Amino acid sequence: MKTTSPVTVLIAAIGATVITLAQNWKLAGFIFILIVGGLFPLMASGVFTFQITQLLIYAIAIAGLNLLTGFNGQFSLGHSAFYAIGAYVSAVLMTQLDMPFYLTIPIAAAVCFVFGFLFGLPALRLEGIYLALATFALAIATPQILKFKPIEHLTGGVQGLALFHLKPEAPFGLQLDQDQWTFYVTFAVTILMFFFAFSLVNSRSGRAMKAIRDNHIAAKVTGINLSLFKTLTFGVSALFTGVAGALSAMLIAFVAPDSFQITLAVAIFVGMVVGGVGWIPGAFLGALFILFVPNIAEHIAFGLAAFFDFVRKFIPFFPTIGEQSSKGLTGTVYGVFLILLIYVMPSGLAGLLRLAVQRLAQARS
Amino acid sequence: MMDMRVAGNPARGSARASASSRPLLSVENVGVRFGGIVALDGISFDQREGTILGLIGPNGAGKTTMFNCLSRLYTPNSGEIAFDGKSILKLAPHQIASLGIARTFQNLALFKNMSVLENVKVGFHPVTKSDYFSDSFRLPWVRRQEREIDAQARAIIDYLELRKVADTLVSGLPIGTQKRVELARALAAKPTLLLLDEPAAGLTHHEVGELGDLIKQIRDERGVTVLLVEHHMSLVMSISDKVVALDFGKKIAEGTPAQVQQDPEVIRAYLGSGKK
Ligand SMILES: Nc1ncnc2c1ncn2[C@@H]1O[C@H](COP(=O)(O)OP(=O)(O)O)[C@@H](O)[C@H]1O
Ligand SMILES: [Mg+2]
Repeated sequence: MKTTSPVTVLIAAIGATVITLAQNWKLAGFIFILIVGGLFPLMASGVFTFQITQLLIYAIAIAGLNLLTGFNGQFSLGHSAFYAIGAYVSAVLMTQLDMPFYLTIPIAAAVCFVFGFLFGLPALRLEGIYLALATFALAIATPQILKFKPIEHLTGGVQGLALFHLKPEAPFGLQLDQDQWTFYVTFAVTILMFFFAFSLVNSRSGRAMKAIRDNHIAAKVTGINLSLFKTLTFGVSALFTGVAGALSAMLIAFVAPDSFQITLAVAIFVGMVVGGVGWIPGAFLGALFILFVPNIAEHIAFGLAAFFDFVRKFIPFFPTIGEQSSKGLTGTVYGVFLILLIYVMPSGLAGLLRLAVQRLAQARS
Repeated sequence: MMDMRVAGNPARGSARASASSRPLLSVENVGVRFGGIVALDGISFDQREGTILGLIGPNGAGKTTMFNCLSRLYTPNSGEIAFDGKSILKLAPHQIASLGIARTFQNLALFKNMSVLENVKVGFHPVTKSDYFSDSFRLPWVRRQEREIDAQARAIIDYLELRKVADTLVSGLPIGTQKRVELARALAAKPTLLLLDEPAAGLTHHEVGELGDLIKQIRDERGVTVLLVEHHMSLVMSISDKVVALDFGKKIAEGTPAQVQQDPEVIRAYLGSGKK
């Protein structure tokens, strides 16, 4: 009788795996992402790990907004509110009830779902620009509500809540520092949330959401309950953004009303537009933009200031920028970036990427 | 779970067959006003199951308004509309589709950022079930239903010869093709009553003939009752079992195609509008 050596078995197993992966590019891609994500914090610097964790958190929030706006056609300039609620629910539960961080995520998700759903009810009667205005008001009001005196014993008022001592440690004696472990937790939650997002938009409910976005009369006539789907979508959208908020509370280890200003809502909105309205993977591109482009803009602003000073040596009347106003210039450069992007690629970076993929696919077939 | 109706629910048909003396659709004294305009003025007519009824009349006669009442987009100021013996006027618009009433629109109403296949899949909404939770978790029963929807949507797409454009966005397609996508979406819900609002508009003479055959085929093979609004008289007269003529919101004639064609009121209405 012939015995198969372990080496043969191993080679056969590896061969079979490779063939399976080659045939199933989705599975292969997923495994690739797992490997990259698993190795990343072990190789990257602490600062970079922190930044990428923040990127994933933004991506979840952007995906949440995209479910609402890109897939259901409802505008929101107020998603910083749900981000704040998620962060505060998590922080308050940890500080008041000593609840472990992990447990606070589903609770923050549920609370934000309810808030989003309830906000979605009156939003049913508001279209387009009016809904944008109502959500804008929500974003303005939220930091003020968080500073509200009677709830100061819970929220910490203007000071906010410090969570440094509550940051979860890596379990099972794993040799990981807090930033690395925070990345892994965020990474796992990101995978889960994007699984939900992809599943939802490709399902019967997702089709109903898109149908409402494209033609609400035809949607009604096709049997879709507009009020139900619009309010549920508002809830789910808030849930995503709330989960992002809870994760950010853990990452920053600190929550305060002023971290959730309207600028955050605008950043999430910009991230969605840049990444591509109505395209889930675009959330990562959008997050990349809102995380790094302000930095790049700052560098450019400093560079411009130096350049102006240099030219001034030769041309006396040349304008100067100076230390202070180069900060202001950062915002301007960022704005110019944004305007250029929207003009050059109205469908966002995602539009460009998709076009490239389509061209490639056409060239191959 | 997939509603049985998608696979053809025999219970529904036979339940009605036993009460076949009752019309499938009964419109009684329906009136609709928009400010000063009387769009429909006391309209009554019945339609039997399995028939094709042609609803004709010059532009502005009130035909589309009638359709909008039947799909509950408008609420009549007076009168009653009963489907299968039950009033529909207390229902919300989105509840009409699951009764078995589907329609197409005179001015296309497709989901323009979705592919042909996706548009047709939306048509299955009233005859399938799911919820956000099961859909987000992609539970096994949802996946099974999705496969079923996919197969049936593709079957309808083949039936209406749309296979070549199945994965194309609808917005770029020719009007005639878009109209067929609307028809496919309407058929997805396995309707008992199909409302077609000017399906032949913009088609060539040859295509109009084909459409007539298709409508008859849908009635004969799928047992769908058809209420047809159309300006192509040759089409209406050749396939309708009964014709109702409207003018300025009033019913001016009702009968067999031959009777209505010779009706002096109808001739006058069409000549009158022709002169304008
Ligand atoms: N939503 C509406 N608001 C105001 N007037 C309307 C509305 N819908 C239809 N009408 C009017 O009702 C009359 C009938 O229109 P319609 O039903 O579209 O006619 P048809 O489909 O027979 O050409 C027209 O005078 C039209 O202007
Ligand atoms: Mg009309």
